[in-house]
Parts: sequence; C-alpha cells; structure tokens
Amino acid sequence: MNNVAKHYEIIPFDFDHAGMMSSDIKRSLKQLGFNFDFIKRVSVACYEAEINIVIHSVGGYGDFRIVDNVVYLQFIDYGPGINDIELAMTPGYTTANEESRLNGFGAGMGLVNIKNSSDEMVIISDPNGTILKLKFFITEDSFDEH
Amino acid sequence: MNINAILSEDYQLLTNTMMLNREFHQVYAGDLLSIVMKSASKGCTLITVISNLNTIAVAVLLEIPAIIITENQTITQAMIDKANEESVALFKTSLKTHEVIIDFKNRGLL
Repeated sequence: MNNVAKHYEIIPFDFDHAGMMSSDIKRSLKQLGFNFDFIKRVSVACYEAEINIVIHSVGGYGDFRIVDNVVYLQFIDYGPGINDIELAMTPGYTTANEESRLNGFGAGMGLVNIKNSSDEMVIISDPNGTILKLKFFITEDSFDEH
Repeated sequence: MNINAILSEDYQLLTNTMMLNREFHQVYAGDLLSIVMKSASKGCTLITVISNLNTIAVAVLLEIPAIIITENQTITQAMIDKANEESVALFKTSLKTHEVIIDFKNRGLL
C-alpha cells in the first residue's frame, strides 16, 4: 500500500464540490478492502476538513497518502488562519456565516469531529494559513474478519 | 424495512424507482450535517430540511439509502441527478420532521 498518493484542490465557497476528495478517498479505501468503520473515520474527517477550507479559507488543497501502516491526510490553506485554536476546538463554537449554515454546516463541530475520527491530529495556524495533519493507523481492526 | 414502504400520498419520490427495493434500518433526523455524520448509522433513512448536494454527499459517506426532505424545501435538479447517480432514494414531503417520525411510527416503519 506504499504507492497511494493523491492531491485535491479545494475551492472556497464551492459547497457543490465540497466532498469530492472524501468520496474519492472512500472509493480508494473500499477498493483496498478496508472495512466500513475505518473508511467512515477517514472520510468523515476528510469531509469536515474540506468543508472547513470551503467555509473559512481563501482556498487550499488536500493530500491523501498511505505509507506503511498509516493513512495520512494533510490539508493546507492560504489563510486567514484560526485565531484561537483552543476556542475553535470547543464544541459548538463557530465563526461560520449564514450561507454555511443554510448548507447544513457551521455547527461548530467540524474540528471536534476531525479530532474524534482521527488517531493523531496536528494543527498549525497563523494568518497566512493553516496546516492540518491527520493520521489513521491501519490495524487488524481496519479490515473485516475473514 | 423496504424503502418502498415509505411511499404514500404524503411522500413524493424524486429519484428513479430502482432504489425502492433496498432496505433501511431505523431513521435519523437532523439538520446539522456534522452531527448527522457523527450520529447517524449506516443504512438508516435520513430526515432533514437541508436540501443540497452536501446532504447527498453525507448520505453516500454513511451508506444511507434514503433521504426525506421535509417542509417542502426546494430541491434542485442537480441534487436529484446526484442522488440517482449515487443510488440514494430521495423523497420530498410537506410534513415537518417530527411529523414524519410520528407517521413512520404509526405505519409500523419504526
């Protein structure tokens, strides 16, 4: 599984195409034989991260890689950054606008869902952009029993 | 429970009839898609007022076979096309979300 690597551009305020990365990754993981629960964790985290870039940033991209026994997701955007990461991690806290809420987002649960879905999460942010790195460890439990 | 059983005069099927033979288990109602992603279970019917492509995307992600859009929300052709493409049965109703749940209970769908 060492040669899976994909790159996706994420367009600000393009709600219609948000989720393309997560559905593509879901397809790839399914082809590789991962079970529903593992795929759900990766794709929920991925979808939330995509939506965050769509809602909050001026644009960015996502990368998906599998190296050894780890699924890596990395998201980079070009700003304006998260002012207070701790506050942004508080369930229910949101700075999303009305359009985001009409699209069913902006509940203030995105980063919380990402943290709960992933095995490791690192977030670095300043006004020039945000980097979000996620790891999902592949174990026996990532596959259905045979 | 067969998705076909949802059909009644209160529910309009917008997608093609091929999906009606699939099964659903229980329902989940919610309008905040992050909470839906967290809490809805695989194979349930999703009841929501959120009517856009993201609703379909979340359904695909959770392997949700049917969506009921309540309160006569406008549903675009793009959303119907996406639902057909992803094999998600899409219904529209004038009922409110809680009325759908009561109706399901009354008709023995829950």
